[in-house]
Amino acid sequence: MPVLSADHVSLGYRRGVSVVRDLVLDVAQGEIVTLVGPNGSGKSTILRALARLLRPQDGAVYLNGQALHRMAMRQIARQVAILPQNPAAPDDLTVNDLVTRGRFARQPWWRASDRQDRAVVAWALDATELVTLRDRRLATLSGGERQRAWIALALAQEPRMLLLDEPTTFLDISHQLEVMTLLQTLNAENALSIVMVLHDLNQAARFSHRLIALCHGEVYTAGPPDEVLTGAMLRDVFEVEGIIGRDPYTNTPVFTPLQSVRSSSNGRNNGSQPG
Amino acid sequence: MTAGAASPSAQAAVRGQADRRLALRLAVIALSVVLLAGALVYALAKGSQEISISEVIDALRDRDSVSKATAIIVHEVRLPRALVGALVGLNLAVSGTLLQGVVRSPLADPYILGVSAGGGLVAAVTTLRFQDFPPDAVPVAAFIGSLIGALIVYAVAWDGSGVTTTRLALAGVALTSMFGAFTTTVVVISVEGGGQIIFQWLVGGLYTAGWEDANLIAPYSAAGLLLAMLLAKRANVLALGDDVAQGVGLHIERTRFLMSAVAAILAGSSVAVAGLIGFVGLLVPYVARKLVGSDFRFLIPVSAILGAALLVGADTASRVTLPQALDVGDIEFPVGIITAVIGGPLFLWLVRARRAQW
Repeated sequence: MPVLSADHVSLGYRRGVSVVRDLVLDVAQGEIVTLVGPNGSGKSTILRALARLLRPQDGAVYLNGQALHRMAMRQIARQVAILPQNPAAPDDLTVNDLVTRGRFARQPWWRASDRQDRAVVAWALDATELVTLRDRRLATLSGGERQRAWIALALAQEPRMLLLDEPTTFLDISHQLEVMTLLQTLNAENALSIVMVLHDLNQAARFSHRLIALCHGEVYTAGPPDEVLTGAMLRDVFEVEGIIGRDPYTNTPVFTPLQSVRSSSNGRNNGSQPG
Repeated sequence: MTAGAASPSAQAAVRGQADRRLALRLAVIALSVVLLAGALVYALAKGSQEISISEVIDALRDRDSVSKATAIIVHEVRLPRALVGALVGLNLAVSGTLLQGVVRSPLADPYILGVSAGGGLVAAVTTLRFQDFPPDAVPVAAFIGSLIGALIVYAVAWDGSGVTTTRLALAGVALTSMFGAFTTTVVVISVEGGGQIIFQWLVGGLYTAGWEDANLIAPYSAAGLLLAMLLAKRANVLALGDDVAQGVGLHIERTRFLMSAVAAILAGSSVAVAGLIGFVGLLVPYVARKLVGSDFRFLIPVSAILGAALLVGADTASRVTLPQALDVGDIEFPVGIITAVIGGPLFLWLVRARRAQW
């Protein structure tokens, strides 16, 4: 049985206007699934719905067979953790303060951290290699270190599923690699399922078991990177022509864009009306 | 990347840092208590009848050890007024701390957000228009007024996904003027020659504070402070932003409502005894945050103590120091002008410095 599934889900922010339509999606335990698509294709919206930050207009998201919108926030938080794009915290918060707040859903409301909480926080800091930085203020960390601290916050929830919205977007290449290998390790060692949004298609192909390509709020195609990263998909979904090679080191497909074939930029002048 | 397993000595050094921060925070709490004690004793000593500090302490220890006149001044006149001042200051400061947490901005305060004005209007109507209204119930009525004020401002500032600080401040200022106008109308039609009383309601003062006021506000201060502390952990999670807060399991709208309701209990009961005193809830949490950081488990108690100390000090200044300095004899100034003179510039500076969001 899939851990998380979306059953004919429609999503939107205004009544009657759907950003995502009729989405069907399954994520198995231990799987890394990456959503790819151009800006405005609905990737982040889907991720928000999978964490119940957004309630479906139609259909339902199921977590272990239970409808997400019928579950309590705390109950969801014990199984699913989400790292939104560009999260912000008060300046003076230390890494340890931040990660400890990830225990919220596992503590009774009247109690502070106990031994079990501290042990999990220590594990999360260790897994993200932040032990020596635990009392540093977030503001003093590098971008990569800060991103690891947010991942540690998510890990402190002891989730089975981790959702990440563009976890590498604001990082330089070395920090991007650091975050991606961390996610790969967490997935391999803890059977943690991961669903994320990535802009870099080669990164997505290299680190994911499965890609889901989205176009105008609908799934264009889904499957292993080799099946999804094709010339036809790139032309239809991303409106670029390019060549697809193979990474000699990871044996995953690599895409080199050559030129844009965007139709919308000249569509108005040419009168691209159907038939 | 740094090494995964830190050496024991490095870990010890790192733990030492955390211990030092805790020690610093506790020291701030201890110093705040000393400051409050000093402000209280000073308030009891100062006035048209000067009493020495040692005599004040003697009077507090044993009423019969000092002259009857001194005992009456200390116990029946200045002590209740100082205690009411302390509780009003505590209420406004903790109310401001909670509201700043609700909107995630330092630009919030019960006065700015229309919370005080809503409470003030309802308190004025119940006290002045309904002769049979039980005085004990005025804080409850004011609480409801405060909550309505908060909800109106919040609804106006809500843009579908969150509140913008600018809209919040504008809506609050508009509501405060509007409710202030209604309050003035109520006072004018109810009290003959009500100039002084309008001041009492709109600028906030402790002229008439006595033991019955202290007894009236005390339970609300105690309950409000306790509830605020119980919400501290949730407020800390809310400070991580809506998405992360929900992601770790917080019911954000329920938390916002509970925090606003406790802020309204605190602000409403303080308005019921002291009228509209502005900017305490802006100024004190700002200073407290500088001293102990953003953790609400420390921010709330430190704001409470410093708020009490500030208002006791400001009241003494408005009652004794300022009239003496301006050589206007025994005229008393409303304490609200002192807090506005200190807090107003801070508000302007915060707007100017674009510290609208943390």
